[in-house]
Amino acid sequence: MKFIQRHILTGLFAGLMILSGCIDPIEFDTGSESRRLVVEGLISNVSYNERELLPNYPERFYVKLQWTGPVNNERNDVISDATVHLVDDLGEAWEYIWVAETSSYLMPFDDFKAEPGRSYHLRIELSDGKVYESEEETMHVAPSLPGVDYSLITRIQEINVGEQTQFEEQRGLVLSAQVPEHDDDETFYFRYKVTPSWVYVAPLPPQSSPVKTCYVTNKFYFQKINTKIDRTGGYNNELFFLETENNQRLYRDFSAYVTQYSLSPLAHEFWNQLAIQQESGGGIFDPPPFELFSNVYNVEDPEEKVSGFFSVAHESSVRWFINGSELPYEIDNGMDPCVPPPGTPNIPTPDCLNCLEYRGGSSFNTTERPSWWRQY
Amino acid sequence: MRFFIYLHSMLKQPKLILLLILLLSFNSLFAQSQAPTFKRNYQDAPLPAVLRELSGETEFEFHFRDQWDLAELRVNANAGDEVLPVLEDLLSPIDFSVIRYENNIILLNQKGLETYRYEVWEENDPLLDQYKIVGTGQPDRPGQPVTFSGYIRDGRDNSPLVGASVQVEGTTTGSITNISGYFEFPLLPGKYVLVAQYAGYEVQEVPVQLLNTGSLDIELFNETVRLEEVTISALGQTEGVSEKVAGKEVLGIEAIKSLPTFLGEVDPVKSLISLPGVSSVGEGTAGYNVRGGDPGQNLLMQDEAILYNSAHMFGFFSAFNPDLLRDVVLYKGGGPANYGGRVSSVLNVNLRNGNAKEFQVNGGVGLVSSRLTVEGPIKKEKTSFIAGGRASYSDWLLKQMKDPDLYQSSASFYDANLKINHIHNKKNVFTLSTYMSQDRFEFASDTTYFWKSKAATLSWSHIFAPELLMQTHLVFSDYQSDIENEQDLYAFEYNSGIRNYQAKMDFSWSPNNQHKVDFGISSLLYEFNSGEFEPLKNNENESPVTIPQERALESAFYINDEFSLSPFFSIVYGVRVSSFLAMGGEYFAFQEGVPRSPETITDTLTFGDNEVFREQFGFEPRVSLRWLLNPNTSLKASYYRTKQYIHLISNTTAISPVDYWKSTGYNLEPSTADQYTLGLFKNWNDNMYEFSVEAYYKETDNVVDYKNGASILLNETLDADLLQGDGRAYGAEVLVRKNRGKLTGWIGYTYSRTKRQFVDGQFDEETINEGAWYPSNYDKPHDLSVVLNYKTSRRFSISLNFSYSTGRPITVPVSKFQYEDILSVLNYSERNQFRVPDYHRLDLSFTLKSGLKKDKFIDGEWVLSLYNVYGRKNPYSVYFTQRGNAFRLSILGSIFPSLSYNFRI
Repeated sequence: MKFIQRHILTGLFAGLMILSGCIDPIEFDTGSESRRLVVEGLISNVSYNERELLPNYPERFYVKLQWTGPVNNERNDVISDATVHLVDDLGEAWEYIWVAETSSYLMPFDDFKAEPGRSYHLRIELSDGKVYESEEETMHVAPSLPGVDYSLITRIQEINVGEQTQFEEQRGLVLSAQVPEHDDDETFYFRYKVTPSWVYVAPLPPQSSPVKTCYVTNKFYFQKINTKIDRTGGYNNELFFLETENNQRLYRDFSAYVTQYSLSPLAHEFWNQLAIQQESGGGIFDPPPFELFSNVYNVEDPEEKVSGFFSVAHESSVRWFINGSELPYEIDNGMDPCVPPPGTPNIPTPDCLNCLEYRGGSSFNTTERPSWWRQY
Repeated sequence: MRFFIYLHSMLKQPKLILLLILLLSFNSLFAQSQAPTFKRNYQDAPLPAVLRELSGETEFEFHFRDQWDLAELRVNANAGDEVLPVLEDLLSPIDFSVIRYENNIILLNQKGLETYRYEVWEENDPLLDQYKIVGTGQPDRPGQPVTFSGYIRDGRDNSPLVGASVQVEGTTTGSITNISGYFEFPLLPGKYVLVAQYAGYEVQEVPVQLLNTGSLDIELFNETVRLEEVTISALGQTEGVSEKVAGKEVLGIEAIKSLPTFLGEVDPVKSLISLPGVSSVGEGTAGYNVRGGDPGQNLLMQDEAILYNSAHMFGFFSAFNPDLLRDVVLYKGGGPANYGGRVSSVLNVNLRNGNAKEFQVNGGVGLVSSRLTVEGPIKKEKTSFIAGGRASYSDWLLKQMKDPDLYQSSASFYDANLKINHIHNKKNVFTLSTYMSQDRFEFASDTTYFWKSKAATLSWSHIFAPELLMQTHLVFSDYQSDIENEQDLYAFEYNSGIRNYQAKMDFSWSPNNQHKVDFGISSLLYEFNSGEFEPLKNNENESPVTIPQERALESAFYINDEFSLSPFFSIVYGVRVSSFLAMGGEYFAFQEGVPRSPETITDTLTFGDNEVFREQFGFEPRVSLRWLLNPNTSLKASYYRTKQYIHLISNTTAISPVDYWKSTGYNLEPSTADQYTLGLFKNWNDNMYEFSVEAYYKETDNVVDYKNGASILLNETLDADLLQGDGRAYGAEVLVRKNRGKLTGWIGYTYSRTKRQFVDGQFDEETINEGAWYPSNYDKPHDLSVVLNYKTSRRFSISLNFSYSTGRPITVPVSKFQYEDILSVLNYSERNQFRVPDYHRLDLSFTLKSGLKKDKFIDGEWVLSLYNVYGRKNPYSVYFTQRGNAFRLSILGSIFPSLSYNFRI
């Protein structure tokens, strides 16, 4: 339904531009707005040691602290000198350690994982002595993600050619998560996170070159926030659309690591509102934008505004692969950008010569084949 | 100097003519003497002889006629007795009467004439022959006022003019016509000059000699008919002061037409926006806000039929055909008790009747649309029709756009009116008024939006007696919003709407000169379509969604009395008792103690179409006081309570076609508004100048808002997302107006605030801005309008319109952060804590009328309008990118000239 809504409102908005609309940047004096602490943290039922056995790059539980920045600033100030503890309802505490490479505080205990029935909160002490705590969060255990399915579809895609918008048919697939059927009357609050990876082969180096083949991960490729409230299960929940034509990510092998987080209702609502807010533009045909809530507060001044959320999740994951040979139709590889057009001098781009120079995967790129990558 | 006693009755009373011959000349400059007395004793003396004797013996002259055979009457009196009582005793049994005028004692062969207010004036009074005689015979109660009544009608089509004023020149005595154009007020018999006026019509001065209870019909002529001066006036020139209902604004069509227009389109709603207390979000938005209220809180009626859409093409054009308009009446507040159902305002758009005497064609050719109206008699002086239509051909505008989407888009609208008026006899008039309109906007050749309105009113006006009138209306209204997509895989059809059937009877009873009682009943059946979605063609991605239909029956009884305690003090008070039966639909029961959400639904309640599941009642008292300090100054105070049972579901600043109406029911409460006003109205320089200041304070409960991020479109569990809170609005409206002369116009300034508070919820997500009062979307503290019309000659005029208002509130991103994989998450301010830039705009228009000859074949006028003269880039919408950069979209960021031609054949 969101598509319809967006479509309707986009149409309206465009309609109003008919009358020789002109668009100018405008500034609001938000200077008096004081910076806020932003807290990002999640723990789950899967410890670091257990993650090492999963088909993914293992990550530790982390807490990220930063200051909000003005809206025209690209990067925000990260807070590196805080003391961060995880505390459970029995009073046991675990201290996070600052790690500059990840710009975050990491849980150093390899076996630590959240336990069902326990409640946890964060306690953050900044260098200026201000203490922040999160609300208590508990784990909501849910049936594990049984698997993912895909279906081939053709959809109408808006494409921009120059200044024109055109519509064209686009073949692709929709990946969806299986939601396990249950009849226990329980309500589950899911969020799905999809991390795509693919194989990139630089065309020009010889097969033996150590920089010929890379394994690329780009966590920004799918920006869509997927949340789902489930009461019965027994259906599939759509996650993303992957275009199959002219998509070089599919030429060799493409993979997605799908994690299902079962969240508390409040954490789910946080993500849900974040998703809505990401789609809103604040125009007169948009619902009014709003401030996201947080479950972190200043112990001495609960009125101080803080952003972000600490959650305790029950997680389960599935890795999924696909490539062009598995599709029922031939996909067009398009023109190889590294082959010089006949009769013209051509200087190949760096990624033609070295797969590590590939710019399509900004989060992680390695020539080392992960142990969990399938034979393709 | 010669003086006359002018007894107008001579025109109708031939017997008296003879008597009057006796009276035609005498000197009246005597000092008033003592009463005549007998100079000697009389016993059984014949009356004529006694009178002749007295004429000789006293300073009094006794007038009578010999042929009346008064000799049979015998006088018995003693010297020193007063003559008059003896005469009266003698004459009264034979229905004769006695008048004393100065030193003349006049015997009359009629009874009751003694109370005439005789006046003397110069023989060469130019009005002498023009006096209209009202009433015959003699008043029942000598010395007491009699009832003067009549109708004021449009001289062109005989239609009654409602709210026209008739006043005795130089006094505060007078009245306003009711829904049948009827007026009535008490007046001592005598000679007067009456002033009849109505906004947009020529003022008529009618010399009248009032004999007895009687009536006089007055015809007023639309000012353009005679190509006379145009008066810009929101009310009749003295009505601002004398109007008894506080917060009432009347705009005649001429006032509306005199304002500069956008693309040459005359727009009554935009004209109202130039008055204090009425505003809009901006150009290109439908709807209007009255004293800080939402657009959905305005009751909009055209010929008694409720309309749910006041505009075409996103608000650029009005839904009303200006050629058919008679007047527009706005009540800022509840208005009298006969109106109800909305908490903010009542806007009555009244269409005129067709010309009952001759055929006529009106029209106008504009850049975007053209219009044509045909009217004439079906049966002369009895049955008339008027049919009008407008259609746009605005695609040329889209084709000018460089954007290919817009090049492929199209926009059009049309509307059509037909009104038939049948005067069955003097006591029964039947009227049928129908309306339909459609807007079509096709975006990039695939999605088409339709907005459709239909309305029909059948009215029967019946006069039981001059003091008791009835109007019965049967009304049908329908509004639909459709969206269709033709793309194969995404094809769908969506529609929502509201339909109502209404029957109402209004009575107007004037038992005496002090009271005018209006009472009536009405019943209104609503059918709500809150959204139906159907995928079409090969769209398998979506499933059909139908929000179950709600129905409701809103009924009311009202009684309202206009009570003139004295010529200076009047009170209009009344009460409306309303009932609302909610039927049909699907609602949800929620778990107690947790925030409402789809997850906390404990029960789903489905009701049949005619199953009443909730009854509500409303008691809505209203009172409006007017104290005339002097004929040119009045103080007014009012209190209105109004209740609104249906809500416009809209969570955007501007009204959009996806908004829909919803009934109060299981989880939604009706809104109640209490408004208090206090105002001072002053005219001076013979009503040439007008000044008014009016302050108001309004509280509205159960205003509707939505939880953060709620979607209203096809939301099957909308109940979970609705919030209800309190609204508060206050302000002061100042108006200075010049009514006559070459330069006319007004300056209106409003200071107003409108705020909301959502604190009732016990959970954070059920409050807004942490329960604090915050400015509503329509809070614009300062609002200034300057409207001027300068006539350089009878044919050429220049109009100017300047408007300024504080920018409306907006919620803006105040900071941003990264979160997980999301590079930019925006932190927004609390709701409506910032403002878009101020709005200001200057428009000019130049009107050239054709020659002043009255009987020419075609009357025409050219209107050149310059909209937004200095090209101010007023923000239409301010929006933000995901990174928080703000952009201002101005849809009319440059000067917009337009030329139109209006004609009448």
